[in-house]
Amino acid sequence: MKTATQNVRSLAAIGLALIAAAALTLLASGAHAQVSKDLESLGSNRDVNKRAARLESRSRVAIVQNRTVKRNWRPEIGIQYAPVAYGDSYLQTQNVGLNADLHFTPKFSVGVRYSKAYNNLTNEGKAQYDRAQDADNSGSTDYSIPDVDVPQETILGVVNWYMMYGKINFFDASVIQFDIYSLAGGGQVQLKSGPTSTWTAGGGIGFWLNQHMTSRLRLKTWRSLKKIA
Amino acid sequence: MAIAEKDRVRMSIGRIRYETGDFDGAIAAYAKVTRGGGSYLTAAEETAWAEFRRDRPEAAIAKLQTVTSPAFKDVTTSEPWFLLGLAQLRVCDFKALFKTIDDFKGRYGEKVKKLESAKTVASKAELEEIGQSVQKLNIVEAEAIQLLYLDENGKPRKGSAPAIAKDSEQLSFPQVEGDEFWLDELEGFRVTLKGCARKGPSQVATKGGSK
Repeated sequence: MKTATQNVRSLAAIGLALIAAAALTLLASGAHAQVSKDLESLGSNRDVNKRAARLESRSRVAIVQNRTVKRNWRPEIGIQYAPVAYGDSYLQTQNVGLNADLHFTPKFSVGVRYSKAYNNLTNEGKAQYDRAQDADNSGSTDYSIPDVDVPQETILGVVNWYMMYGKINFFDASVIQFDIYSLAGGGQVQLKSGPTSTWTAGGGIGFWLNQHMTSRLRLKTWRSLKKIA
Repeated sequence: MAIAEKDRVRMSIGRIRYETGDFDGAIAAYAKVTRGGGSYLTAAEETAWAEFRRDRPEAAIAKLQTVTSPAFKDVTTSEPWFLLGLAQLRVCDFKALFKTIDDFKGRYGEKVKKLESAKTVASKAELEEIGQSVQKLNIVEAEAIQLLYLDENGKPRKGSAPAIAKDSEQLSFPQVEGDEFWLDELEGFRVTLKGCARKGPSQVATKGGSK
């Protein structure tokens, strides 16, 4: 049986509980309102910030990723198509060929390049020949024919140095790694008039698309070493 | 068993190992959580805690670069920022620590104001979580200030961290400042440190940790 004293105690206990709950609620809402103030004060001491900024950072952060294609003692074969720019003004040459490379390390490789040349006269060359043909048909000897020595095939040995690397975001579809490289080499070019030595130098970008496919854009110059008699 | 279910099991294994002090075992369990799955970020954060407790703050910092990446700013909690600051305090990298605080303020400044004006239960809960991180970062900052003034004696500290190690089949890229990020880099962070002359701050600061 409850007594009057017990009832009073019960009411007092409920009252205290309500006061405590209200106090907790107030504390909670006060704490919420405090967050932006606390956040504002965080790191706001200019003197400290200046002092910290003067220090050398004690950590170094970088992103390290594996190469798409491992290139220690890795062979690479490929086909090439190379139109010739800034060559003989009467001749338009396009080379189609095969490449074979051996990568010693990711930085260096040696390779062999074989290319077969497909030659056509440029508009200027064709006009020159047409004028000579017309003059010859009309019995005139007052014409000249350009002395064009066309390349037929070339074989080169090259050394490639992959001096820089990077990666590109390929239309947000994938990330492709690439190397910027330079090359130098020498070999032999078979001209119509006979074989002669040649050298080459240049540079390019190699894109490593996946483990089994690469793509290269290369710009190179080559000179035949045939002496003009 | 579905991937999510498997991940839940892996997370549970990781947590049990963490609780028993088997931090390497916990890290191994978290590493099996599916990359990109629903538990991935939590696993990454808890891995960072395990690395920190394993006394590998550089590994914790590296892991937290992923967790605090702008890529996940809408799905991560604020606590990883506290752990990042704590790990930086552990190695006396005060410069990086104050940058972390700056970045934290940048990330949460506007958000806190919005949460304070919202009156929903969810916003209050989130605000409370951020508030706790702010408080913990305040403690970290106070500790850093003390060390900065007492240990440094006003002299600029010299000596940068060692170079990032990588083998010939790996590429390294600098960390991009600001909000730019590359998704393919998220698990690739590596950190080297030049630690403190003494280990005092870690013992004090770890008490602020929630794990």
